[in-house]
Amino acid sequence: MLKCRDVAMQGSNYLDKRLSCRQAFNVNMHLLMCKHCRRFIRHLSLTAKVVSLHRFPVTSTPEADEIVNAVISETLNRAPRPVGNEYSRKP
Amino acid sequence: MTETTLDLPPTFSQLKNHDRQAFTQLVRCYHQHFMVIARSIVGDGVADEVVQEAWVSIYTALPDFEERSSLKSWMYTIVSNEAKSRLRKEKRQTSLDELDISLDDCIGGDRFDSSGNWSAPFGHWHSASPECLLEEADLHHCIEKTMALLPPMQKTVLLLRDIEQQRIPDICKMLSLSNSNTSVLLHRARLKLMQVINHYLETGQC
Repeated sequence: MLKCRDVAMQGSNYLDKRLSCRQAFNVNMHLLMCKHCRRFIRHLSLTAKVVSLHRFPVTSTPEADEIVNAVISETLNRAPRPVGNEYSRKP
Repeated sequence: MTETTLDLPPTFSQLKNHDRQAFTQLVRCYHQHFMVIARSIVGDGVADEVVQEAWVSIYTALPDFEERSSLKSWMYTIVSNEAKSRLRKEKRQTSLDELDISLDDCIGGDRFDSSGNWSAPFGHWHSASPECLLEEADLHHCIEKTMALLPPMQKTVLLLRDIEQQRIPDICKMLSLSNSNTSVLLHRARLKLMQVINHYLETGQC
């Protein structure tokens, strides 16, 4: 029979459905009987949902412009030089 | 207030045609994400260079992007490959000291008795939805602060899994981590945040 500590350690795998059928069954049996673990799993699920709503700050336009300028400049530096009539000598 | 969304997301055709404004919007949206990923692999020192290099690779390859995966998955792969390549050049390895943090450290205090059952279970949370929790400005600030202070690899796994909804096998590949290490890092990060939310709801403090 699983202990509460075992359920706590497997909490994220349980929520993300990454346990085997047998493991998930054992966790479900424990949860049927343990209100503290049911609450723990609910809290963990809510925490993951809170995180999913988090948004990283957007980079400022001046900083992004600087990055893009550097990218375009580097790309042009690395582009192969064209070989054409302008570079070849006339007979 | 910090800006977290863009008014006009760029389109694929604009990006493939190297539309400057579209590419700038892409940089604005993802640059911070790339820095988190790069820092977790190569550390703070060269993360800037790695991300700059990744943007050059992305810009160069955009016209040929075949949309077999999502744009962001494709970009994350480029960033992580760039970071790993840098590590190899410098003959270093990613530190995984974060895996040594114990469950008790993450949950906080001594919550289990010697037989493995709860001795100090979590209390009831009055807010039933994530939106309700985030309406409390102080708690929102707490959560942001905690996320910023997470160990680098935990932060990256949390970003990729819970915010960007990337699949665990793809995360394992991007970060060159085993399945079990990725799971442990994700769980530790979530537990840390859960502990912070719980503490706030119990005491009103971060």
